[in-house]
Amino acid sequence: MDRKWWGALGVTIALSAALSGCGGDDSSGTAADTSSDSATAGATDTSSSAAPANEGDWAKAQSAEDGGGMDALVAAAQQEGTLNVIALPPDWANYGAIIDAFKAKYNITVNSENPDGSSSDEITALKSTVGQSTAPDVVDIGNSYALQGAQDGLFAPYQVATWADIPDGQKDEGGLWFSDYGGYISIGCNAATVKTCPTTIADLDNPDYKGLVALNGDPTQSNSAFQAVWALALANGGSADDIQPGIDFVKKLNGEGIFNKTEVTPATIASGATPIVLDWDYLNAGETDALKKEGVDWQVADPTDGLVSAYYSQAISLNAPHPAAARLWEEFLYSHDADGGQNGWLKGYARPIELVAMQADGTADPDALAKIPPVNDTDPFVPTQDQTTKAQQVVAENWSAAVS
Amino acid sequence: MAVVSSVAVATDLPPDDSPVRRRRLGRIGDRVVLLLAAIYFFGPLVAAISYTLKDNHGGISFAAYREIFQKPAGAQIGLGSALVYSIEIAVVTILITLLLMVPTQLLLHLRLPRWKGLVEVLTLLPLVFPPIVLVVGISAVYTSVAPTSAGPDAHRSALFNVLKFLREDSHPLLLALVYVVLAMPFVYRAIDAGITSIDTRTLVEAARNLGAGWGTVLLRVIAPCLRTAIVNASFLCFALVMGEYTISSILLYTKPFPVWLVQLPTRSGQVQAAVSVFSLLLVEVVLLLLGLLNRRPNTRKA
Amino acid sequence: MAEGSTVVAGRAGRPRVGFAWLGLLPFLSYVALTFLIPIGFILWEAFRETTTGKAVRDPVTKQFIKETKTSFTSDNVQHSLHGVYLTSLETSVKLSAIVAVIGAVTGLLLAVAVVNSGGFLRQLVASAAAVLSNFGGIPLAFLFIATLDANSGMATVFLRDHLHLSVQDDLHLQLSQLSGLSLIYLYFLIPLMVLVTMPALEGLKPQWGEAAENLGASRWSYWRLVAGPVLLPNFLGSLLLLFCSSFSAFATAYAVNSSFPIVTIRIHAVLSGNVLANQQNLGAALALNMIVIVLPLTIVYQLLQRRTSKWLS
Repeated sequence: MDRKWWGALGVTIALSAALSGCGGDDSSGTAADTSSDSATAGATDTSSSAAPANEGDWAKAQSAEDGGGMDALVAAAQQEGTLNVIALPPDWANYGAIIDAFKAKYNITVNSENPDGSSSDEITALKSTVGQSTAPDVVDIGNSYALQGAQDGLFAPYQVATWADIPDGQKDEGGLWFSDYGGYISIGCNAATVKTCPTTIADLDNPDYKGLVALNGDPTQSNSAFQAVWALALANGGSADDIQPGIDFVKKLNGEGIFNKTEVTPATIASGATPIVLDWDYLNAGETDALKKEGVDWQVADPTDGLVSAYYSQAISLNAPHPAAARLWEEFLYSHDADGGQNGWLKGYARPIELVAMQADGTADPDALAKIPPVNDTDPFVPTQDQTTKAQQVVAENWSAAVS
Repeated sequence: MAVVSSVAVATDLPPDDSPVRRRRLGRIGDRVVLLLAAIYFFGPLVAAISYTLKDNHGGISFAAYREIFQKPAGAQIGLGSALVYSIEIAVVTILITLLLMVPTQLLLHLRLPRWKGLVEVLTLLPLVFPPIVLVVGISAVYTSVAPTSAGPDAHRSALFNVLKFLREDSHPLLLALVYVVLAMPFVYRAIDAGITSIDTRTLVEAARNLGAGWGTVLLRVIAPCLRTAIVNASFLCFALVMGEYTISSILLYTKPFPVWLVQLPTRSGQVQAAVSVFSLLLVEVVLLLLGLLNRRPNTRKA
Repeated sequence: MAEGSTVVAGRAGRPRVGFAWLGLLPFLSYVALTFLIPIGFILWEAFRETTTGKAVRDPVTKQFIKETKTSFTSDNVQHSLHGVYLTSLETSVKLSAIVAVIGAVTGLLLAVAVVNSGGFLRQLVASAAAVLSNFGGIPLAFLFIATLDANSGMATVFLRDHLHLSVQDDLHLQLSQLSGLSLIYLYFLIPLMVLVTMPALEGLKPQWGEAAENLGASRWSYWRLVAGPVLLPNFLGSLLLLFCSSFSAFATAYAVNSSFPIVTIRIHAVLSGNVLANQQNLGAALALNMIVIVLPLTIVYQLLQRRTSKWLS
């Protein structure tokens, strides 16, 4: 062992660090490219410009009219012929059927990549596949990621035809992201194995349920588990500023042996390894259908003492390899048609963002509407982004200790 | 059964401390170890297999496995294509690995023994990082060279074009390059064990004295002696490529075999379990076949 | 021995000195390009922090224009050494050390048993070891859940019904805790050990064993005085390999218990989850901590190896 050895190791590492540091940071601005030829005035409201500013250029079009009209959009999308989506499991809010409907209606191939990917994976994919033909065209991500992605310049601005039906506060003003569907945290229960199914959170604290109650994942990694902890907090005196009661409640359940740490999968639900699961109501309700075929009676209840809902967000990639198909997909998802995306999600037991508007103009599918788990949410729980971030930090720090 | 008879034999061991007795005891010890290992490794496998063969009516059904062989409705490609895709990546990985590591390690052993430490540390580094860190690093590199504006007329640097080429779905060289790095810790040790167990220095000197060029020395003198080590290294690379899921799935490759298997559109827990059993058995069978083809006469080197 | 001073009679009989290290360039540049640079990015990020000023929206493109300032800071590294992250680091080290030692010893015994048996078994185990050492994640977790799950595992049910033994209370084996995870980790660590030890075992010359036997050495003495010292560098290196492998393992532990406090799961939560956004710098700091733990270990191993590798030159 001599100086040469250390020198070589040091040089190798230093060289690599220097090389990587060269391109690593960016202290100037965003990734946007201000196009020099878009001189339209009144740019904050593109939907009412007289002449389409980006006719034919679907990568830059900010609405269907902006690019030359819906028919032109359909034609351009069909010419592209393909759409890349990511992290859309077929049994998540009925995405399987929605994708099939899109394929059938427009004759466009849909590549569904990494269906079990997380929101982070989607953002990583957007960053690491620039220029690839397999890059995702659109993403469906958690709200924190949508906000961050917008800041990082990953999305293209676009306003769907039914833009006005999306409530303010649930969409980015410039159209960089927009909420799509959501649900409430619910308690799913295997009625065959469990004699009396719990319907409220307070019910969970019952020695009869020893080893039976599980969250869908770890709350520092799974959005539904995180929101479930918040629901537990609300039921135990917590608030948007205080998620600790939820963590304490889990600690209590863990101490009493009620909490089950097994990873929840369709297999564990079917086999009875996880008889009580806290998860989104649309996911639990989706399980009910699938499990009926296997002879399992899976009941779903939205707990009245802890009503927490959250919406996911759609966004179009700025570098989408198929920009017209991406925009057509969004139009499809937000159309009020009977076979459109909003009703598709409704049939998947999720609450589409435009539900209020659809109920007003009568386009909501009445059968699907009747089957959604009933909920009486008089005082909606709507934490701000700051409150959410703070709660995430609290959970990140304190969860492990509570369940060890 | 084998253990019982060995124990019965042991009771009439020769009383003195002879080599025969020691050998017999040794063999009992070996048998015990092998039995325990068999229980530990086959036990869970048997449990999983019996779960996958369960029928709703208490009988045996291969339905779970049949689902793997038929091209599922949602999948883009079938089992055969996925296998071929991964095998191609494996072959490229093996070639790059051998071309890179064997000459390097020979050089280290013969000429630069002091550098062995540095190289060994470098080869161990890939082992320290969870795959997600590597992927985020790769995507960070990618982001830093990506064009800063969208559209076909955006400026693309040469470096970006190279990266883009490497990453293409139809010839995923990026995956092969990353797999070479992931395999390095194991390949290094396998080849090192081979090099240190043969008297490399003498062989090389003798060959050179007889007038052989370096190519001949490498290919016709050293490589045959390192055959076991090279075959081991190749098997390692193959098994790695056929089993690696995290990096290829986050980089959005859907065609490699392990990714194809895990992302098979199915809700059934039985099929998911069948998938893992199947991948294990398939790769094992392939390696066994390759090993049998590679059989050499069972003589220990003198 | 002294670098470059080995006189190999070249064509002209001149000693070749000094340029041998150029031959290492392909390897070094390969490692630098494909590995050190991406990792270098990450580690660099561990000391950086990006603060964004007020974001203004461009009226035409609708994108945010913001003043971002990246600066050096040790906050992330400090954060990564407190609270749950520190606990995770400790648990990772504890788990890895335990399974590395158990895996190394049992793997060695198994490798010896297999090499002594020879024949087809040897071939079978060699290929099985290669396959199993890469077998992890959800498939492996599932094998053990099917066998030892507290409620419905086959072995659990068998032990409970026929031997009246509870896996949880009597055997103190819980899959989601350290005991169970160790058992699962060994499933790929023991094959790994076998894989790297068998070639070294085959390098043991049979003459040594015969000579020892003839001189009256017991099997234990042979191992202690002859084979042991020869294999020690390989054993230590394999131990280190097992430690690193289990230290960086992620998918298996995640599939069994995604809340288990090990540092790789924490990194996943930060870099690849669905909850914590915009914390890449913290993830980088956690990765840096992993390197900082392993690097001294490899250096200690190098020092040990120099002392013990006199037998193989």
